[in-house]
Amino acid sequence: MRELARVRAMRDPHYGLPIVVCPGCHNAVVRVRHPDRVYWSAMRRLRASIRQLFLTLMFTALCVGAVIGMTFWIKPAVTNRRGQYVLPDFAEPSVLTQVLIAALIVCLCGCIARTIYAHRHFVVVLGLFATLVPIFLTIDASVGSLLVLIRDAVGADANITRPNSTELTRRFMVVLPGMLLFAAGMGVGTVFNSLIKKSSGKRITRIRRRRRQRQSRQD
Amino acid sequence: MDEDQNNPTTATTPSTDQIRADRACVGCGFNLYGQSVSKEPHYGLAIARCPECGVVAALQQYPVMTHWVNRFRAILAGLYLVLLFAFLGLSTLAISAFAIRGAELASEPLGDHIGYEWTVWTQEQAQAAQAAQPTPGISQTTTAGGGTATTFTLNGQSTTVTTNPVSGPSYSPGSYRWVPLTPDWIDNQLDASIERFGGLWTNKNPEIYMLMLPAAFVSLVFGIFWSLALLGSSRRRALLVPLASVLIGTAFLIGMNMDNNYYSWSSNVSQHIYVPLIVPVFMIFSLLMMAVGVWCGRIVARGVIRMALPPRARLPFAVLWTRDGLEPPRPTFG
Repeated sequence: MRELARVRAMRDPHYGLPIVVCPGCHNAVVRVRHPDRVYWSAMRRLRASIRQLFLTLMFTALCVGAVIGMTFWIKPAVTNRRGQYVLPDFAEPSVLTQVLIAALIVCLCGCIARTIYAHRHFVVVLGLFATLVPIFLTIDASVGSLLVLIRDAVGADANITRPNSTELTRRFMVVLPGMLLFAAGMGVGTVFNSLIKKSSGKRITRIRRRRRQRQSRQD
Repeated sequence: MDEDQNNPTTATTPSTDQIRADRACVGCGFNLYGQSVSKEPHYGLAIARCPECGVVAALQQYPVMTHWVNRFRAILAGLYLVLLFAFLGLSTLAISAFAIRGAELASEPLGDHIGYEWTVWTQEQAQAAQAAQPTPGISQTTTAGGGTATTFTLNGQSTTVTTNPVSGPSYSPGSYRWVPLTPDWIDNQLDASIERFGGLWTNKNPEIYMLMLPAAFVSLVFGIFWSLALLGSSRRRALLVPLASVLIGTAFLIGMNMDNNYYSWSSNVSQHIYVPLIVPVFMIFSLLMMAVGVWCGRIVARGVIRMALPPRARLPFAVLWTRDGLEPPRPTFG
């Protein structure tokens, strides 16, 4: 009777099964993992994936919401009611602070977006947010237009309010430079990602080295 | 045991279980996948025989450490079932709410019409009652133009006052919806009033089409939910749950609409007439949208997971791929 737990399993060339050969009697057995262990490790992986999915979707919603919020917040300061750009009144400290905070938050959102979508290409992530932000920025106009379309088609008599074209133009006038800032923030996020990758690589190397040292001490 | 191994005809208790994993025969290396599992008579061990060489393969079993493992599984399955039933109730309520609101909205013109006709009728009844009880010294006659000529006689002298024909109350939408109707009017006049109204479908409030927009969105979301919650079944089978939801909702609303004595307001009477017409239309529409949701739910979920998660983290969601016969996501980049 020998303990085979520490004997390395060789991959069977025919079936691909992990075979462990007893060094004493040369009997071969297939190494299998206990189902309970397999089940719980699968559950742990599932939990981690669900958590990551939840965090990714939450941060996506947060970034889109923040960009739209900043658009509405800064809109009166940088555009007028005729749909033209105006120079913000930087002489007033509150306006300057407002513009700076908005720019910083949009940059931060870009950085977060790049970090959570680190597995995706830069252009894909930018495309995702460049699609989501305008969709939700004009959701009231889209739904309103759809309702007006239905109302006119069926001849109903309902009062539907929706933003006019000048209002939509103003929103896009603010969000376009906002998306440029967002892309700049994503650039910062890319640098941040590479730093994380490097540090995690070093960490894994450290852990492996420590394990090897411990193993050699035990042997 | 050696005897047993060499004698494949030894009596064993047959079983319906089969080996469901790759297991190499210790005698010849043949893969025992699919071989039936039986109990050997001496120790009662579960064994499988190699069909090639007849060598017995002792099946290693993992004893359950505690009965609570199975109990825990049963509890989890029960909780999931309760959750699914709760969502079935929720989806039924949601689509029923849209259907009943649709019926309420569609019935508004008929409610106004019925209320108006009842008001005209009661005024006519009041005038007729007044004419039937003459006051001493006052007599009323109808003129050729439809007006009323009232003659007052006092101390032998008569004075006649002629009035123009009485016009009915002015009709304005929304004013007569909450008129309480009398049972004798409902019994004698309601059917004729509905006939005068014209077609129920053509004269409905067209705003119900606008209500279909949020109803479509909610039904679509529930369809997506059912598509993902019922991963154990195919999409066609998963469609049975929205169908059940729609049937329960329709039966509930139509059943609640049974004739009773409480429908006394004109709006209630008109809604009572419209429910059998509008509720099935809304329910069929909701079912269609839920079917779209069931059909595209897994596709949407796969797209979201592919976009949001790195390849390694997608693996636990492989069932979304394998359930539809697709290749599961690979744990490598690219």
